[in-house]
Amino acid sequence: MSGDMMLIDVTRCTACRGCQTACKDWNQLPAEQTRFTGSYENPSDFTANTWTRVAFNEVVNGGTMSWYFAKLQCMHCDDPICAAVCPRQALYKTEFNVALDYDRCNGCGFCQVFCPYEVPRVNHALKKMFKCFMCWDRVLAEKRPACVSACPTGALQFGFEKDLLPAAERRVAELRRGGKPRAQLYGAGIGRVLYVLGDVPEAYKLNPDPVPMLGGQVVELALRPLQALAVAGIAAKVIMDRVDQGEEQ
Amino acid sequence: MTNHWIDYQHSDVIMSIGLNTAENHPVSMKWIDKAREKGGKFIVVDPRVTRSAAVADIYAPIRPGTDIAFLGGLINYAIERGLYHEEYVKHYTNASYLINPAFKFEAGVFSGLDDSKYDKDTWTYQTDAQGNVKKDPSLSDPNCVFQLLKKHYSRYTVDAVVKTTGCPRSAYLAVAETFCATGRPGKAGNINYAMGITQHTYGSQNVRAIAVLQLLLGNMGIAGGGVNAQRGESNVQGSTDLAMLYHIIPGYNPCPSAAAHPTWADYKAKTTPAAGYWINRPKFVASMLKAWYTDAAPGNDFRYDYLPKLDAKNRSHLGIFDEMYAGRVKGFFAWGQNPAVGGANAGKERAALAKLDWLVAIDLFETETAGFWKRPGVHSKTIGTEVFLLPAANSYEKQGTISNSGRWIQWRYEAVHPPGEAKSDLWIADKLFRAIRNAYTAGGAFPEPIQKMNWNYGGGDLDEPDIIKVAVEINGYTVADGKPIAGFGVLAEDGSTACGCWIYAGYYNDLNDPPAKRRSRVDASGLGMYHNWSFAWPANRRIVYNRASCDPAGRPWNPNLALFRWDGGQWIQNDVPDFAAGVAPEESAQRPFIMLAEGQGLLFSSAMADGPFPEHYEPWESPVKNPISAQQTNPVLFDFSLPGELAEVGSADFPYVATTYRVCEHWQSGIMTRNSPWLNELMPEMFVELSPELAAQKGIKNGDRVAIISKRGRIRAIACVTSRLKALSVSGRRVEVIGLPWHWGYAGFSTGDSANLLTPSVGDANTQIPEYKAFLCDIRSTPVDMKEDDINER
Repeated sequence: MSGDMMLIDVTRCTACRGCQTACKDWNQLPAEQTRFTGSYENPSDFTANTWTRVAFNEVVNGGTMSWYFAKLQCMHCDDPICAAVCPRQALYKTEFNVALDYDRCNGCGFCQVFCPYEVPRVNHALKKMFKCFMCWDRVLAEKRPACVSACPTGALQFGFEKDLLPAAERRVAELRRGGKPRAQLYGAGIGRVLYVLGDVPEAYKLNPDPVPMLGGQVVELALRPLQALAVAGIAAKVIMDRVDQGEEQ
Repeated sequence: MTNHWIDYQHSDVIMSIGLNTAENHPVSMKWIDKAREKGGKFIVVDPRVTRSAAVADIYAPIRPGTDIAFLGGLINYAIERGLYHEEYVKHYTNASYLINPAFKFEAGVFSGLDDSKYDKDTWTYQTDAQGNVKKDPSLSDPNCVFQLLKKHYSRYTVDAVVKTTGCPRSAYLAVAETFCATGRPGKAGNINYAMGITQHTYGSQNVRAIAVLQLLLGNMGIAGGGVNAQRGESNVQGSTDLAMLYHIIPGYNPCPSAAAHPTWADYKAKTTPAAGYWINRPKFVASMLKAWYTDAAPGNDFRYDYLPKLDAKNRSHLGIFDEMYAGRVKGFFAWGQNPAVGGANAGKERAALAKLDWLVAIDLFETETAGFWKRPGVHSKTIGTEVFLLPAANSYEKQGTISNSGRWIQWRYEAVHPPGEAKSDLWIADKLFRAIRNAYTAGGAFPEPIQKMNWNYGGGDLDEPDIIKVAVEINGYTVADGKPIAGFGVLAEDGSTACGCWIYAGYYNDLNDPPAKRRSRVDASGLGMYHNWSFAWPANRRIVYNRASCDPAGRPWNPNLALFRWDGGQWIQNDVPDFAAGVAPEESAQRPFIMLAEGQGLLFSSAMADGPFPEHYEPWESPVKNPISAQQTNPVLFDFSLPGELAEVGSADFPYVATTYRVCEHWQSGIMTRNSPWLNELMPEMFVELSPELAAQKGIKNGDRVAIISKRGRIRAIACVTSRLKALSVSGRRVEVIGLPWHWGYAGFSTGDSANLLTPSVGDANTQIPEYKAFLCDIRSTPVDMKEDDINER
């Protein structure tokens, strides 16, 4: 195992998107048919064939403009809600990722609805969920994930938490001293992906208030009626599907 | 590059001007970041907030085409405030040389302008009775180079720069203060550039302005410094080294001219200077001829008469297409080149292709050039050109070398076999040459240069030639035993040595362990030189002009980054010396720039076609009158435009400045990348970048399909309305700049209109490189259903 954590230092990211292409290459994912819609960001969302992507965000603040980049992907939570809600127990936690047993997955989409990062995506034709699996095949073969090995600047690193976390903390302190007072860590204590940010999470299109813990789920749902409705809808559909299957059987 | 990529880590300040290093040279950012970790600053000067500007410490907006104003202002700032490296300037440049008192600069032009050419009679040094150049070491004589330079750039005040470039004063002053601080001994400033500097009617002078500034600040020849041309293709350095250009033959020797150099004696007499390393030119060229013709010998002038020679016509890219457009070119090889997309004023170039009898396109895919006869809006029945398409192997499908920007000649092996019938360029060239030579057996004019050419690389009817044999020929060998030579020092003008390209001598000098194949990660220098990783021309030297890294006594300006140190009896060396290491340091200090006749860096140079000092002129098309002088454009630029192709100064019909560029996700004319679905996913369509203010004024919303129009053509693109572009205040008026990537065309998976349908057929005074980077246009919100032929053709 080549590591148990990915560090994404967005202050070193130049949005070359070598990571996006390396992911598609290693995982042999087909290209999306996209359009240019007025932003370099493309594809504009995760899909079953797009597991990582770079967010672009232009922020104009009092006459100065900043252009922020951040690689988005599965956070590989230590306490993954996707696994907790999976009715088939198809998702499970390892030392370095949240993995999926494809034989068990039936593409119900519970994981997609509950993920605070909106990462898992279901291929409805295949009835399977797809997301970043931290290149488990490479990591177990002592290689870094494909995206990390493609990164030209060192914005992406892969290694062990015991090394990466202190390095990230030092980097944040250095950025703060160097004129980025809002520099901060993001993702610390959440999972296997740690960010060094130069500004607040929203500036990088990162969820500033992720709620990954199952314990908070009920309260969260009450505050998020749409999501609750969606869950109810999917649950109903899953139940109906099962009923259908039962009838067929 | 005078330096190399890894050396960027040693810079105190890195200034990117006229290039987008993060997007077009992504790995450069690794080394730039290393410099920044040590407190280094990264400056980006660009009309747009690019992905480079987004991560820069200082971003300075600039109006396209005003780099000399910007750099000239820095020269003035350094001189006025005494920030230049005084000792370096005194000892290592021609600052003290006295210039002919008849030399003048008035109303924006230098003395000697006659019609559209300069007579350089007054651009000369004063000499004494013995012919020695007169000097004033105090640098106070009003006719010394330093005083003339100071006077010339005294006009480039901060006010004048801001007014001309549109760069906000605060940003400009931040750049000036930060970059000119590298003039302190022991500090290193690196200026890197690419096509944003060169693709102007005064592009060569843009580069000169960088060189002058770097000499003044003592940034040449030192670790972390340099004038660093970042090459936009992996092997474009190799292609110029081997003379894929009309004006040179391999190793940067001038191309013979029929009028000036009809004989070998004329060539030698007129191209060999009296001093400087180029006094060896006859040895280099004679050895090249010996490599090409086995019977070359002093008695037959090394078969110099076999060399093709330039006629009176201009044979640059623009010149060739002008001739082709006029119907005077019968056949054309587009070999790894796609002028239908990449050529300036591409509508004219596409029309020119139809005047050919035959066209051979050699590429990985069917390019727009290969398929010009079936492009949208034309009737192929009306085109008589016969087109041959030869499938080529790509760089991973064959072995050979790639010479990177840092002059490292690195061997690459074949990773996979080429698909289908695709062949290496060497295979294609070999079969072509054999067929042509065979055809001459039936007779023809002047067959000897073809029939007698040395062509012994193996390879039968269909076999791959032996590329090692080609490598050894380029490296050079002693004729008597065929053994590769160690370096160019042994080359002679007596027929005993053969060498295809003298600067490459040494790259393949050991058949069992050729330097170009070396991959040692051991760095004895401790400075990232890696002398046993590939081979850097010349002589495996990693930083050229490196004598200038030490003071005249041999003490390094920066002891922490010492390339050399004189220990009293010899030099302690961390790089291959670019000077005579066997003499006392005070002696080699006389000639730190060994290639030049003066041996010293040229703040004043008579070599340029358009003036000894870089002077700001406006682009051929400009929204304003020249704010610096009464001379609007470069008086000696090359104009290949057709009547009616020029928008007048301040045109109301074409009020916006347009510039062209590349994005990270596509490459050049897009032929490789627009055929890659993964890359098309990232950058799917042709777009145009414009400011929110201009968009509002024009009723354009982000994502709209719009039309962009110049005097030369019309194209469609999707609007990218972005705060990354901002109107600039120039001469008291607001000037909007729009940005166009030039990757698209009608072939491949992702198609779109070509930005080069808009660019002009005008070129630089020295190189004739087209002015792709600054021209006038209009932008309109238009219905989506514009007719194809209305758009693609004039």
